Amino acid sequence: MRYTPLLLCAVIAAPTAYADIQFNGFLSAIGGTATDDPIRQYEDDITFRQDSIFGLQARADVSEKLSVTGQLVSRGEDDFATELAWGYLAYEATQSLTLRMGRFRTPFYFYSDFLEVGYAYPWISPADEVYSLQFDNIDGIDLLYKITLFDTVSADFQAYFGAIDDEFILNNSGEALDAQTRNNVGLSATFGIGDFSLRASAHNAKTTVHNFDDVALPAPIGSIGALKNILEGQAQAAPALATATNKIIANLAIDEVDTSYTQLGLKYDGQYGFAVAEVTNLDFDTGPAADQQRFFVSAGVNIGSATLFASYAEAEDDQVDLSQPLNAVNVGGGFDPIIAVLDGVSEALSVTSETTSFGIRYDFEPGAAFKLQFDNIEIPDATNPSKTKSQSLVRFGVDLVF
Amino acid sequence: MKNTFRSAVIGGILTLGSLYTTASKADIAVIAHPSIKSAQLSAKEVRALFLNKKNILGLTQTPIITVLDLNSDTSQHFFKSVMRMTPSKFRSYWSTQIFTGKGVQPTYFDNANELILSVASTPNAVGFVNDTEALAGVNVLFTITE
Repeated sequence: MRYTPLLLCAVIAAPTAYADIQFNGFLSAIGGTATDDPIRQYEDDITFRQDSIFGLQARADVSEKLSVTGQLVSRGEDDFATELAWGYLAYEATQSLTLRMGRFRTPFYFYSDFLEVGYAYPWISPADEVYSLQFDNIDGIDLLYKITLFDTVSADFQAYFGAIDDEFILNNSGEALDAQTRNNVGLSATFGIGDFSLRASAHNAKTTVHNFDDVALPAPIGSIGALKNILEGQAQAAPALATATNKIIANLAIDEVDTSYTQLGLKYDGQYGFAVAEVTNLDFDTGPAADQQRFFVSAGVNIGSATLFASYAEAEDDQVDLSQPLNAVNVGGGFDPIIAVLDGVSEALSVTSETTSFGIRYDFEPGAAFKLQFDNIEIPDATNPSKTKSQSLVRFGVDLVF
Repeated sequence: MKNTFRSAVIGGILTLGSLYTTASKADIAVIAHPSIKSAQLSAKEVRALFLNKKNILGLTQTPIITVLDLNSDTSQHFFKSVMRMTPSKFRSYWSTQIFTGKGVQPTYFDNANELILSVASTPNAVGFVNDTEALAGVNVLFTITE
């Protein structure tokens, strides 16, 4: 036991003997408060957890072409538990072609690669509506290829294959379910001309959410599993309903569901300002989860070391109408409570929101930026679905890289 | 008398001002390891080189970028007139490269002599310094001409 420190020293010192290790880190210390009701994990008192992140990356060049990269990240939203966010080996076959294997960022969005490095973008965090997929990192293999076309257009391609095991957090309750995706494949292409860039990507996977039957539902039903039992009971009592209830039961599961995701973005980042627009679409072949249609636009001006920006983001998901088979056969009023619960599930698995943001980023040192952002969030009013409810969020903090 | 005094003061300020201008606008030289044999670069090519956007130098490996302390006068001048971006923007750009594993971070030096020594002894290294420095053992790829 008393040799442990020595061993640790050896482990730390050994690689440096033949490999050059580079350490880089990033930190976001962000506080914020909801001005009305709690929203997006912020309370009506100031808290400093939700967007605070600490990350440390180490890269070692094993040889001229082979390198190893590891990134440890502690997130406030996970009680600062440290996670190996990335860990991969990269083989730089040529200057334009790199092959990686291990765990890396799933390249869903424009800002995917540096999603957690607040210093790399003007906002406190990228638009909540768009940057919402829960499977940030993937275990697998990818190919990066970069080339310059016609001497003016830079083109970056990334193709990957992999699998993800992660938690799937439900929007409303915060309930965490074990989830997995398999046979993930995707391709992204980014083209740059001067200060402009265009990015498009497409992804496909088979998604499974385990223990979906355990998802809690309001009393007296209790859970999705119990709801299925009730529906089965109804079908036995009235066999004419069996077709409808079986359809619903089949839809109340996410088991190897064919899932596709597409993204398109356009960005300008110049000396005097920036503008970006990004639109995404998530489509589940079957199951209860809504097809997600999201976009955001943002623009800002640079004034000296400061950037003033404004953004607008929207989620207008296409809900799965779970109760439709029952409504189609005109069941009696006795089914109203079940239909209401089904509609509740449909709604809980979709998001409708609009966020308007204003903010400032001030670079007070090369490597450190102060940020202040105000968000106004419009969501459907739970008590009156035809109306929307407006809520606000104020966040501030410092982003660093070192 | 009063006017003489005033013009003297104004003259003094002007002289100081122009001295200051000369000092802060000292010319910049982009330097490289002696093995890098490249034609003189344009400002546009220097921008692409320091952002590692293109294989400007036709190297088989990624160039090693060295940079003077971002708060130094030479850096301020280089970023303003050649890179056309703030040092913060440069730092932000590189953070996107580093944390994607796409690039090897630039090496920062506080001192121009150390930077020159490092570029002279590191294959594939490039950097920039004030051209009044003794540029021994390096190739000069670009100078600002004003």
